[in-house]
Amino acid sequence: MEDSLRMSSKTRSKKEQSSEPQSLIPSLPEEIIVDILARVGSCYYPKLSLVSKHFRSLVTSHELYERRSLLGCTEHSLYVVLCNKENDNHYCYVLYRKANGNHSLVLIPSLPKMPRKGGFVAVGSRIYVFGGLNSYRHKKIQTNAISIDCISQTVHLLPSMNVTMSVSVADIIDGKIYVTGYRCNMAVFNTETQMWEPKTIPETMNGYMWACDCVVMAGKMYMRDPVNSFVFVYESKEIKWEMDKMLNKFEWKDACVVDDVLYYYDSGWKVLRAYDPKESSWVVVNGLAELLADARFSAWSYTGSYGGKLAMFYSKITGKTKVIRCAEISLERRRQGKKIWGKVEWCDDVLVGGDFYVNKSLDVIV
Amino acid sequence: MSKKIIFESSEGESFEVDEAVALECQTIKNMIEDDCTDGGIPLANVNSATLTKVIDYCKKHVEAAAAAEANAGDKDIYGANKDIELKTWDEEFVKVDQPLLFDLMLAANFLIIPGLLDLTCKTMMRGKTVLQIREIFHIKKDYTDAEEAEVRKENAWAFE
Repeated sequence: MEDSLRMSSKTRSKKEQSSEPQSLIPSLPEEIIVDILARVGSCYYPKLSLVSKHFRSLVTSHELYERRSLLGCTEHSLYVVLCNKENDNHYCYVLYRKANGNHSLVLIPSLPKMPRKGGFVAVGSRIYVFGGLNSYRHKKIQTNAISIDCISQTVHLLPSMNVTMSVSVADIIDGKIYVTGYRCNMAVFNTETQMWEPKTIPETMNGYMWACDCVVMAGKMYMRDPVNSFVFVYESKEIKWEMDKMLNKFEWKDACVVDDVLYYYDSGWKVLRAYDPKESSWVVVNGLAELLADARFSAWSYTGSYGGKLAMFYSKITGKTKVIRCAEISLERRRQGKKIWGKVEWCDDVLVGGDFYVNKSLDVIV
Repeated sequence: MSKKIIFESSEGESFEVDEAVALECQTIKNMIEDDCTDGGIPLANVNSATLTKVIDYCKKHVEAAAAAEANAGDKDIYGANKDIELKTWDEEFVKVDQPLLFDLMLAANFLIIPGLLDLTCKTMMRGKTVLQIREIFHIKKDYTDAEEAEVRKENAWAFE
């Protein structure tokens, strides 16, 4: 067999564009094929799905995902819920890196319309979506819950929520997703059993309206209420509410967390702020002057965490065309963590045309 | 001082390597631990050309690891440079023709050399057209033209 392999290499060098088979191994065991696909990286999967029907089903299979997990070849993938301002429809996109190195937001055609509001949480390779309003005109409260399998890009129905509420936020601590909304108790979904916990957690804080944003840092859940601008700390192990006065100093929104530090873009001061709950201190992220100047006149902006880094989205107008621009920012803590420096890894126009804004970004692992 | 291990290629050719180099292969490592390497290790499915390359790879990576360890005390900017150097070396290493690359991958899979397997798999796909991938894996196109056009449309963004 080796002789024939050498021969085939000779033929190839003679006529480079030959369409003759370049290797004479008739077929590889399935296991090796899965192994190869697991290692090559998901940016090749669109191309690989064109090779054959078998390859196409392989690239979205759980078998391949399990191998990738086993080999430590899983990757962070950023799912982005975009709202089309023209019709108020929300759809799921994914940030892809193209072969030429540029990034692009690509609509996932197999996923349905996403709810207008609602709680979105990424857990491993899944996205959980709770409640929300189904249309702008009929503001009917939804109690349904779904999970999106980001490997096969399919939707699965979950048991309905055990309380009727207009969900505004949700986040996860120790495998349990805490869902809350307007003047309501907190419903708890167990991701292991895929069931709702029988008991909801009563909301006990005086004057609390509803959470308009929430994050989890070091196992604690922090929420902010839009009217009173309070911050609540909810610790899952022992149920108590307290206030974090320092975190309350700024009206953070669309915040995300990287390494237990909260980040958000302050559109008033045009700075990226960071809050470290261990130090109870706010800092402004340095080193981003050029990026922030570029984002200065954007109608909206959004920051999400993406594999230990930040993804910042904002809008730009080039000529008559609106684009969504995205920058990936790596973060470095200096002077014993007292200063944080950001570095723009890349900055691309990820969606050209239309009139969209980012409603939510979700860092999933596939 | 260092123990030698003898590999025997499919053509019956012998290759003597330091034990440290052989230990880069998980399969061989297990054999050494089980003490069944006396009289050489026959590798019936690895030919001489491939084995020579595999040994080159293992040698380089053992040297690089040793150098990194020696410099571990004064970790500085040069540590990063060493990584880049090894990466460049790896890139040069896999600039071989497709059949040899394929053999290298199978050898890495058989001998369990994770770094080499990773490198060859990635190189195998990089810059290849769909047609070339079909050739490499000996896959017959089972899409009709219409089906293929549909899948291409679905993934149009990736082919821009």
